[in-house]
Amino acid sequence: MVRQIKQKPMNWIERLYIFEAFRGLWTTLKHALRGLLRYETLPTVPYPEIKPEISRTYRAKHRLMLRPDGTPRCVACGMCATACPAHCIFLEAAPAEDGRIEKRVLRFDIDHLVCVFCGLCVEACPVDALRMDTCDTSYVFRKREDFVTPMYQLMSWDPKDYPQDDLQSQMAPGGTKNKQALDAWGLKVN
Amino acid sequence: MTPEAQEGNIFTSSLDFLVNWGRKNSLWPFPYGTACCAIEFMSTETARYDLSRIGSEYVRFTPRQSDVLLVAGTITYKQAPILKRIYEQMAEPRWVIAMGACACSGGFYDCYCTVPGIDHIIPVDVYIGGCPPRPESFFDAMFDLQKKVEDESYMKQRAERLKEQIEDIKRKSKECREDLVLRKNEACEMVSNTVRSKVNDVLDVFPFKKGR
Amino acid sequence: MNFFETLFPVLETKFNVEKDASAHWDHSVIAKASVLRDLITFLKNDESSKMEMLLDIVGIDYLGFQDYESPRFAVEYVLKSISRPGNRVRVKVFVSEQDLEVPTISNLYPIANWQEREVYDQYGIIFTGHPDLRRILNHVEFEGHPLRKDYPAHRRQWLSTNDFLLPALEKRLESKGYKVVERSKEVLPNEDEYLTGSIQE
Repeated sequence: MVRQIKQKPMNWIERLYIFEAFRGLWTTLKHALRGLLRYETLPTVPYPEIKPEISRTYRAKHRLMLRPDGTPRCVACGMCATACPAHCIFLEAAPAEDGRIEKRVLRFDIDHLVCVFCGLCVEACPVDALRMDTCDTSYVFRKREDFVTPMYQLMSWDPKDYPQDDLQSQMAPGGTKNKQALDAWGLKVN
Repeated sequence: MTPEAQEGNIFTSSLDFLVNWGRKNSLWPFPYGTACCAIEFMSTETARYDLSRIGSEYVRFTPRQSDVLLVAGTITYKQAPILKRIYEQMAEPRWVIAMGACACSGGFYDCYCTVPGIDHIIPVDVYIGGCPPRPESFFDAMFDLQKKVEDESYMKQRAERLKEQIEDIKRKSKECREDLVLRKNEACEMVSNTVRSKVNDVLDVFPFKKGR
Repeated sequence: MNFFETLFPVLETKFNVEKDASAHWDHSVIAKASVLRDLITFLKNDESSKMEMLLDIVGIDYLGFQDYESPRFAVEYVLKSISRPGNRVRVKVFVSEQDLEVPTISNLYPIANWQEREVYDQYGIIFTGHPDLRRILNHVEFEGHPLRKDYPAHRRQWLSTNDFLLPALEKRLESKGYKVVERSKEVLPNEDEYLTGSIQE
C-alpha cells in the first residue's frame, strides 16, 4: 500500500526563510548552551575526571592471593600456565621449606599485552590463588616490556579495597572465612 | 647548518610550544579496524564517550588527512603489506597506536598467518592491552600520545631532517660525480675503439703497402 | 526406515562404494576418485536421494594418525537434501601423496569452485578440470600448504606485496558493460619501483 503524504504549503513567513533559519540555529544554540551551563545533564562521561563504575565480577587485572603469613597462596602447580590459551603466564617453582606445601613459587609473571582476559587461569587454579577482581582495566604503555607484570606487583594489593564482607573475594574456597584453609594454617575459626 | 638552530632559545621554544599545542589538540585518527577492537573504538565516537572532547574531531578514512594510525584488530601476513603502504602514505608527523592484544603482540593467534605484533612492520608509539580494551583505555592512550607530542621538538626535528637532506644531497652528488667520471672514461674508450675499427676497415678496403 | 539403508545397496552395485567404518553418527561412503563425478551426479539427480546442496568440501591429512597407514590425504564431500529434509551423506575419497588428483565437481555445484580452491590452498590437492585453481585464502607468494601436518606450526612467511586484484576487477566491470580504457600493469616485487614499498623483516 502506498500512502501519499501531502506537504503543507508554506506561508509567507516560512517562504522568507530568514526566520526559519534562525529557528534551526536556535536548536543548535540550545544544545551548545546546555553543554556550557548544564553539563551534567549531557549523556557524555567526562572520562579522566569521572571513572566508570566497574563491577567486581569484571575480568580485570590479576592479583595473587596471599596466605595469612604474607606468602603467595600459589603452589606453583602450573595449571594456570597450561590453561592459558595465549601462553602469557610464566612461572618458576622451587621446593618449599614449609612442610605443608610441596612447592613454592619463585617467579610469576603475566604478560598483560598478550593476555586476552578469558579467566581460564582463575578457573584452573586449585587453591584460588589467582583472581581477576582488581577493577583495573586500563593498560597503556609505550613499550612492550612494561606490560609484563611481575609477582610483587600482582601481590601488592591493598586489603582495604577487598573488605571482609565482600562475598566475591572472601567467601570463595580458600578465603579467610573458609574453615578448612584456616584449620590447615592453625588459625582460629570464627 | 648552524648550531644555533639546534639549540633552544626563546623563539624556537615558543614556536615549539605553539606547534605542539596545535598538533596535540587535533590528533585525527585513521581507524585501521580489522576485528572487534574496532567496535570498541566506534563506541568512543558515540555521545557517551565523545572523542571530539579531546580534539580528535573527525575520524578520517584517508591516510593523507590523518595524524594517528589506529591499528585495531588482528593483522595477518596478507594484510601486512597494505598496512605498511597506508603508513607510508600518511603525511608526517604521524603516530601509531596499536589497540588490543592482537595488534600489539598477536594475542593467542600463534600461527602461520598472524603477525606477532605490528611493531615488526611499523614503529608503534603507544600500545593498548586488553581483549578488547575498554573505550576508556583508548582515551588513556590518546592522553599518553598527547603527552608524547608535547615532549617533541618541532625545530629539532626540522634541523635533523635538514641535516639528513644535506648529507643525502652530498652523498648523491658525489656518487653522480664518480658515475660521470666512469662514464667519461667509458665513452672515451668507446670512441677510440670505434675510430680504431673504422681505421682498420679503411685499411682493409685500401690495402696500403705495409712496408711504407 | 532409514533412507541410507535403501540408498546404500544401489550405490554399492552401481559405483562399488564401501561404508565408512569410522563414521558413527552419520552416513558416510568411501568412493574411488574415478567414479566420484558419476556418484555425485547420481546423488544430485536421482529421485531416491536428491542431494541438491553441497554443504562443504573438507580436506583431511592423516599424517601421524593413530593406527593408520596410507593413503595420506582424503577429501570429503558433505551433501544435504533440501526436498527430503534431514537426509545427509558424506562421500570420502582417499588421495595418495604420489598423485594428488581428484576430479572437480564445480560444474555440478557452483559453490564447489571456491571450496575446491580452499582445499587446494590448504592441502595442495589438485582438482582436475577446475576452471580457476588458484589460492583463495593465502597469498600468491605463500610457499607450502599450511594445514598439512608437516607444515611447521610456527613458520612465518613475510610477504612483499599485496594481491594484484585489478585484472579481476576489470573483467567484472567489462561483464557489466563498462569499457576499460587503460589496462593496469602489475609492478613485480623485484622491480625498482616496488622496493620502496616492500616489507623487510
